[in-house]
Amino acid sequence: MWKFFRRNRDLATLILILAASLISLWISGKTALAGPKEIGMFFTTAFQQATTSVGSFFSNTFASIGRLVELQQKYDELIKRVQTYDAQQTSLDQLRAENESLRQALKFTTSLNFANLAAQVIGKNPGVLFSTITINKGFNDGITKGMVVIGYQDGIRGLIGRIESVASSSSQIRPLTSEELFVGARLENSRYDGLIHGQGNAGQNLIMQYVDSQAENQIAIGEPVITTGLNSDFPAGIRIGIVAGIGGKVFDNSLELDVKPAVVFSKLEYVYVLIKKSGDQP
Amino acid sequence: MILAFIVFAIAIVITTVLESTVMHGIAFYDAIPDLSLVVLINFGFYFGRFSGQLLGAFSGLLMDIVYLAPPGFNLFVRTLIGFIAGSIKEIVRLDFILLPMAITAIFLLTKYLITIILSLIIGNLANIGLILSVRTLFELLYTTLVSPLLFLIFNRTIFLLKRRTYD
Repeated sequence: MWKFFRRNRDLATLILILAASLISLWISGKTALAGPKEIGMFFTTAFQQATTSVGSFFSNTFASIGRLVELQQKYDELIKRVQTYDAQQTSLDQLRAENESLRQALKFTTSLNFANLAAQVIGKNPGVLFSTITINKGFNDGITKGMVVIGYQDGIRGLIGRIESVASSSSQIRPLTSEELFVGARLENSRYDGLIHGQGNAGQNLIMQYVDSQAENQIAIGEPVITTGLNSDFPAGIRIGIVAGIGGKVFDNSLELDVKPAVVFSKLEYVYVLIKKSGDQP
Repeated sequence: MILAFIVFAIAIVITTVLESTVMHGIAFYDAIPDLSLVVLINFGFYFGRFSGQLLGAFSGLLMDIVYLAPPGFNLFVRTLIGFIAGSIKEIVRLDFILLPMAITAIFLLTKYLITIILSLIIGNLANIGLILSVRTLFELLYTTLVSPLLFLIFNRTIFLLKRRTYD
C-alpha cells in the first residue's frame, strides 16, 4: 500500500482528495446520491432549463431592441420639441426687439407735432438697391401720393422720403437716397440753404448742392442739415443728416456738401407717414 | 517550489476575493471571468500535476468557504482541474495568445463537465441548470478573452521565481 502510494504519488493524492471531498459532501447532508429517478429527471430538467435560458436570452434581446426603438422614437420626439422651443425662443427674442422698437416709436409719435400714421416696412426693392421702400399702409388708411415719410432711429428723427405710389393697403416710398428726389435743405447753424438729393445707393451719402460759396468758412463738419419747408411738401425742421464733407468746383460760385443721412436706411423697420389735413401746414 | 506555491496561493486568494466582490462591477451579462481557474491551470502547467492538484485543493476549499458551497464540491472540481493541468505540463509555452485562449476555453468546458457529472452523482440538479445557461457562455467568452494577459503575467512571475531559485 505504502509502496503503491510512493510509486503513484500524484494519482494516490488525487484519489485521496477526491474521496475526501465526496465524503465531505455526503456527511454535510446537503446532498444525496442520485437515484434512477433523479438521473431521468436530469435530462428533462436540463433540457427545460437550457431551453428557458436560451429563450429568455433571445426574448430579453428582442425586448431590448424594442426598448431601443422606443427610445429612438422618444429621442426624435424630444429633438422636435427642442426645435419647437428654439423657434419659440427666436420668436420671443424677435417680439422683445419689436416691443422695444415700438416703445421707442410710441415715445416718438406722441412727441410729433404732425398727425402721423405708423407703418411697417414690408419690402425693399433689391433690384435697384433700396430705391423704393414698401410699407403696409395704403389709401384705405388715408395715405395719398406725396405724403412725407419720416423715421426714428437711435433717438433721432430723420427724413425718409415721400410717398410715390399708393395701393389699397400698401404704398411705395421714394427714399431720400434716390437720385430723383430733391428736398430743400438748410444748414441748421449757419442757416445757408441748398438742395439735397441722393446718389441712387442707400449706402452712399447725400449731395447738398447750391450752397452759397461764402458759407465755406462758416460750415463745420458734423453740422446738422434740416428741411427748409419752403415751397415743398416737406415740413420745416426735419433732420436730414449731418455735413460729412465740403467740396465744390473752383469755377462755381456755390458749394457742394457731402451729407450723411440721419437714418440708416438698411435698418428701417417702421416709418411714420405725415398725414395732410385741410388747413394743415405739414 | 514552495515559494511559487505560496505566491500562487496568494494569487488564488486575491482572485477569488475579487471575483466575489469588485468584479461584479465589470460583469458582462452577469458573467465574471474565472480568474482563479486561469491561475490554477497556469500553476499546473509549470509545476506538474502533484503541485497542481494541491493548489487546486486549496482553491476548491477556499471557494467552498467563500461561496458557501456544499463542503467538498469545489474541492473536488478544482483538484481534478489542477491535476489535469499538471498532466499537460509546459505545452502552453508555445504561444502566448491563441494557445492560452484555447486551453482556457477547454479547461472551462472541462470544469463544467466535471461539475455536471459531480452534480449528477450527488443529485444536486440545480447546478446543472445554472451551467446550461447563457451566463455560462458569457463566462466562457469573458475568461477566454482575458486569459492571454493573465498567462503573460504568470509566465513572467514564474520566470522571476525560477531565476531567484537558480541564483
